[in-house]
Amino acid sequence: MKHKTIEILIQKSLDFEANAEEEKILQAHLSGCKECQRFYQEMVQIQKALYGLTEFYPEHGFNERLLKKLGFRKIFAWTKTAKVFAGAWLASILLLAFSPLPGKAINQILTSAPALMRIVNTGKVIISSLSHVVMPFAKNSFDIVWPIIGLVSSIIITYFFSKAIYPVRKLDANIKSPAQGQDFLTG
Amino acid sequence: MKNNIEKVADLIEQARKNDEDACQKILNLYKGRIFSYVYRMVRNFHDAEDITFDTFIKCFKALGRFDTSKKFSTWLFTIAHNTTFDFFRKNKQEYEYLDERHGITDDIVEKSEKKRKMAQIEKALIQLPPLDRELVVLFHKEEYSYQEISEILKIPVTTIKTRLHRARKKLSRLIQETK
Repeated sequence: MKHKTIEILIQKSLDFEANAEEEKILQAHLSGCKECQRFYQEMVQIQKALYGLTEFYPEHGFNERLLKKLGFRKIFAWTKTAKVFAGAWLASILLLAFSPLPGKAINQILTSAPALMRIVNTGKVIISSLSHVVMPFAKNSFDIVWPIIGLVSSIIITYFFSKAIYPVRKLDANIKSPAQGQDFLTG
Repeated sequence: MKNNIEKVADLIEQARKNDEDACQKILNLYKGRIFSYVYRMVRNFHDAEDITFDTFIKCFKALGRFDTSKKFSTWLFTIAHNTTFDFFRKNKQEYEYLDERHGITDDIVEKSEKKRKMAQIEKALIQLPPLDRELVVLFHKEEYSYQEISEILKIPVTTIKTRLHRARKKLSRLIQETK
């Protein structure tokens, strides 16, 4: 058999494309032809070396730059924040409205710890200020309606806050898709 | 293998919903492969980094239109190939015959390769015409099938087989010469 034909069979064999019969022919020829044997060994060596080619990496900070370019760093996860915000808001309102501790007991605890008293007083001022913003119609008494209004309001406020401060990432739909890419052989 | 495919499919799904962690994971999975491929094509670290950057930007922006029944890496390599080709065109470099006009650049070898054998392969590889080099990298390094390479490069399978055969022979000759 011609060396040229065997050369093709060698390539097919290396690419796992040769069938059983072709493999048989190849092996039979290789066992008696030093020249083709040498070529086969060279090809095997090249193939092995190519499989082991080193992987290179871009410089450190590549991911960060790319994600920033995509707008990820500006994203404000308002849904996550709103949940936390609403949860805290609801918990505080429910605590104030349905506290199991009588007022007297709370006062006793607070007077025995002045530092705690200061924290609570500061908290009261903040909550009171927020209450007037979020619940302008609230009076002194708490009703089940108010925690619900507080919850809805907190979600709305957080949503608009996030929209105003952090632009939401918009994906550009006009990028050329690979399917529309040019064929490099025809230019 | 199936688990990996499912994992990638999940990541794509999450990335489509603008999940930053999913995008990070996709980047970490593929940036080395894409960068290595581009680096071997353009032979310049900064150009390769720019092309890889653009490839991923295009990938994430077009992710919504990716057909999930297809292989993600093949699609990504198609974008990388097109972006590299655009780079050659913008820089008025002939894609097919680049090797005829550019000398051998040793920086890949000098900077990153220590082993003599690997250096020989890298040196020989960069002397191949870009298309042949691309075929060799995609077939042997990335282990894509003829059909997948045909999808990426938009060339017939028969052309791939012939050129790959020729490229390996040339590589063998080049390695012998450097010994």
